[in-house]
Amino acid sequence: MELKSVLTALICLLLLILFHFKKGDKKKEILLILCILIIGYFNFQVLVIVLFISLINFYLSRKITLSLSALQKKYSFFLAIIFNCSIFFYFKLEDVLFETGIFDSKHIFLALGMSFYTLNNMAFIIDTYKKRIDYEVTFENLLLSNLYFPKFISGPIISVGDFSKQLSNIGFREIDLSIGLKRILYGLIKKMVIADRLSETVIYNFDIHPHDFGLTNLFVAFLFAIQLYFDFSGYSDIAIGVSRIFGITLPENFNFPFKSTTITEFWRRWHITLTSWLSTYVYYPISFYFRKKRFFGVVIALIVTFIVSGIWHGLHGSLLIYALMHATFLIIEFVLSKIGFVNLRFIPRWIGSTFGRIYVFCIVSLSFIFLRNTNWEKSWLITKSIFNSNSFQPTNFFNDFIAKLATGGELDLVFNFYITVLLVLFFMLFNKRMTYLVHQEKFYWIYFIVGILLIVLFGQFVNRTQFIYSQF
Amino acid sequence: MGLDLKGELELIFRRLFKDEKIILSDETTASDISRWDSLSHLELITTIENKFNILFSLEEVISFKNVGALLSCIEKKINE
Repeated sequence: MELKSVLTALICLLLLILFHFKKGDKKKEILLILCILIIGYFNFQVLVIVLFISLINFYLSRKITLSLSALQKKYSFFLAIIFNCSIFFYFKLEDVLFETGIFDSKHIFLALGMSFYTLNNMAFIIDTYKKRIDYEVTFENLLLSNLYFPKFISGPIISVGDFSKQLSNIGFREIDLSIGLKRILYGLIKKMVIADRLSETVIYNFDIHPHDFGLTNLFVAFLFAIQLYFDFSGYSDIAIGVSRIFGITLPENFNFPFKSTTITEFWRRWHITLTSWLSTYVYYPISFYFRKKRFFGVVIALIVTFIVSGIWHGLHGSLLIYALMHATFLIIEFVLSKIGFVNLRFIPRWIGSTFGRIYVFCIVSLSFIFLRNTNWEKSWLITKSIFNSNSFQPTNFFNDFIAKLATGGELDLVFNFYITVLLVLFFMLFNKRMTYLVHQEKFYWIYFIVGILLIVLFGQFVNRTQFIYSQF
Repeated sequence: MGLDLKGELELIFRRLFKDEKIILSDETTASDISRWDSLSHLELITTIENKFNILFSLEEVISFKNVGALLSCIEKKINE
């Protein structure tokens, strides 16, 4: 181990001890130093960029608050919006340019977490301008909300105001520690036992050995949707858990999205904090402005919101297709609900909800092909194979389906894949019940033993992949 | 005045959310009425605006925490 790592770890430990014993405002300062140290350790340039962005945003927010003339307020507001957008587009555009050439890992690191803290600062500026913040936000609060390490890479997104309110009450508490550790373990299980096991199949079939068999591609698309859910919700569990230990409650990001029976409902259960950000700052103002246009107002607002969501994920054509696919289905559902399609009372409810869930899972899985492969032509080829009746069915079921999904035809790989399928089925079917059990105090120790056993027995320790959403 | 207004609002709610059983109280929120989502919320706002011949601002619409807040805002606008 390098001296730098040892030193950083030691200082972190010292800061944690200080954090525990110091009182009041000092805790906040120590937490801020800890975040600066952690982010700076991983990438010093990222730290400098965030410091700079926070400083400019804070300065402009003060200008907005303190200016006496409305024109001056407006000027500072637009300046802040343009500033945040420019930084965002600069890095995202570079991202696209780099991807056309050779993968540059150093650069990817520079834009790390940027999508998330850009949203944070934009919301802060808009809320300040609209006087929505009922809490005094100091520079320290803003900086900490931008640099807070549990949510730095991929959220959950929380407004600066809501985050600042909690800072007066931070500290290690026994109850938070117990809840936090449980959440972290749950996140690790989701990531290592499900997401990382599926990741090999997805990489093998989409990247290493792409093929034309529709059925195989469709299954890989299904598996990727499940992988992304467990990867991202696992990350969110860890983020929420770690944060809870420090005494800060971050908002929930997922609410069993695959239980949704419509795409509209899916967006209320998937990446909730992003949906709610987009609703507050994009969808709602636009649909409000066009409210007299009734139907068209909603359609315009939905399309713009999803285009913004696509751009936020990255400046790639495929991400725009992904976003527009969802906007289209939301509009179709909106029209259907208006003409009373959902009121088909003669269909038994369970048939309706089962059909709805299958519909949501298929549409979401197909759209995620475009979210995953930023090259739209590649995504299009995969989608085409799924809808091409000539190549849909694999010629040899074992060689072209099972062996492909198992990343090879060897016995141990196929066996391993079957285990993965069983685990996925188990976790998907009992997801809600397991989440309930995780939160029960009486199963505390049993849960920890079973959880750690699951990770040791089935967890992926080699070929681990980074969290998918850290690339956005 | 307050009671009449609530009664009229109740009628609007029942027609819009297609549920004759809706009974409004000051504490009623969107989570109490199953069809009251962000899509139907705007329809509700436009219907109220047309009915009482008033105009809301975006900030007002966002700040409505429950039916009580909505009612007092309508009342204030009508009396202006």
